[in-house]
Amino acid sequence: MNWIILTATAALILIYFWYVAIVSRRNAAQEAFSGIDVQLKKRTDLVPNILKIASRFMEHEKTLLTEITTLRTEVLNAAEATDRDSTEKRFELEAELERKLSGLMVTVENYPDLKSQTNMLEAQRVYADVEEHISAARRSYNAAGRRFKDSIQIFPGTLIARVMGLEALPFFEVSKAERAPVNADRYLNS
Amino acid sequence: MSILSTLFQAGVALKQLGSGTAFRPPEENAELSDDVRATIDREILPLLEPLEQFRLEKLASKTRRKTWFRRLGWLLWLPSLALDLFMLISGEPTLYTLFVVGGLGAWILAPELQYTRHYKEKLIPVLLQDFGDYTYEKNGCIDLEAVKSFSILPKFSSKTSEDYISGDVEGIHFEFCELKLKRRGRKSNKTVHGGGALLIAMPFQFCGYTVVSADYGKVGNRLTSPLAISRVALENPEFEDRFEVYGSDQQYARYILSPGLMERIIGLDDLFRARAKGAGITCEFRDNKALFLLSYYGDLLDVADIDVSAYDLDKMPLLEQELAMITGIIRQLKLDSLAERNVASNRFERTMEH
Repeated sequence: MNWIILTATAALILIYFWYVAIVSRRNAAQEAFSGIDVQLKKRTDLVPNILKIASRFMEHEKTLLTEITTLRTEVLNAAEATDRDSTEKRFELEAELERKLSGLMVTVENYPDLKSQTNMLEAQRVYADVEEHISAARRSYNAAGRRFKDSIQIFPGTLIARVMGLEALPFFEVSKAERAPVNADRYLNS
Repeated sequence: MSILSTLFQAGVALKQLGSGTAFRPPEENAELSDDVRATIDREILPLLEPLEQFRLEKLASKTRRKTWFRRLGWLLWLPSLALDLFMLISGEPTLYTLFVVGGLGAWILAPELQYTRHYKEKLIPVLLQDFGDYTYEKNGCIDLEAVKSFSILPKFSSKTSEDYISGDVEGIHFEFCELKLKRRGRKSNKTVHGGGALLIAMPFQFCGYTVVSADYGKVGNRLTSPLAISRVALENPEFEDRFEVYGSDQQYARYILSPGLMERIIGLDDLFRARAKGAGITCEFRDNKALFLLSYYGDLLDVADIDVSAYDLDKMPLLEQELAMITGIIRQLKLDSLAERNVASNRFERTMEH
């Protein structure tokens, strides 16, 4: 009889500590998410400034500039919802925005007048800094998210997560285009 | 802490010996750069005649002292040895012989030290001009008062410093010196830091603090770090293997220690280990300062040799490499780019506020 009580007590203690770990890891992941949110907001604020400077010189890149403006609006709308699907959608849009902005920064190199503008140089530095912050926030969030995911996918975490209705947070990954292998033929043949 | 540090350093030394990465002698056949060669022709060669004269005087003085020691030294060490033996027999052992021989050794080597100091004072400031507008002071020291709140700076009761170099790189001010910190113990003083110290004043404020210290293993890290600080787990396995990172802000620590900077710190660590019989780097980013403590044995800029003619410039390439290494740390770690980005970012935020 005693050993049944002892086993039950040990199981309860284990479950309690596991529950504590899950809650603290979820909170850490949510905190990391708020950190990422701040940095993404900063980039969204920066976009109109970059576009304002760029549009004066980049007459031939109107399509790209319009696409970025549209994407920014979509990102702002997606940022308002907080459920898992919306967050996933937002991360995809953010990755797309990052890809387009990086493309814009590369295109700037083709416009020597724009490139030499002090405002543009400053904007490029700010953009690079924001991207570094986003990258750091992404790594921090993904690390926290992974720890949380581990805790709810390993027994008895699976049971606790089911009772609490918890699910893993989406990872914030770089855009598919950035992960794709680089085709160097174009550069080597030119 | 110091025992762990010593054990860690011993471990690193053994690992380096095993892997063949222990101190590698400088590449003797390294070539001088054109700039330094021109400086040597233009400014160093005229200095060599008086320097050689000074060397010969000091060499003669050292030889004389050696001769005196050989002929009359026994008048001092023999009675002290007899006294030590007598005291040993009487049950109260003493170490008078050690002090006497030590004192005589210092007396013999004093001319050599004077020559080394003189050589550095004459040549390093001239050579430094090829790397930028830097100043050199033989006995200067970084501003320790400014970094007294830094957790990587060990508590110390006395300090000695030499080879102070300061200047600006891309608008960032830095100070470097070779620093030895000692703490008074119950029985004797112990060295709590020996090697280089680099203090960089950034044109922006770091958020909170980020500390990169040596990895003492799981138990060691627990024992050496205060409970209140939180560990930052980074993604670079090699970096994680060598260092332990703590910070007040997980995300900001990752921002400072970007994947690129982690690689560059590993590179710097390798460089100092290879060049200066080193045992690792610790650094801290706090307020607007970055402090790097580079632990190594010996003297980095020690290229003078009293037994070799001052006209013999074989060691100049080594001196050039070492000066380039010290003055190039900011660029190597790309801290200038970090500063540029932060200054622009702060300006942007201020503009947005208005």
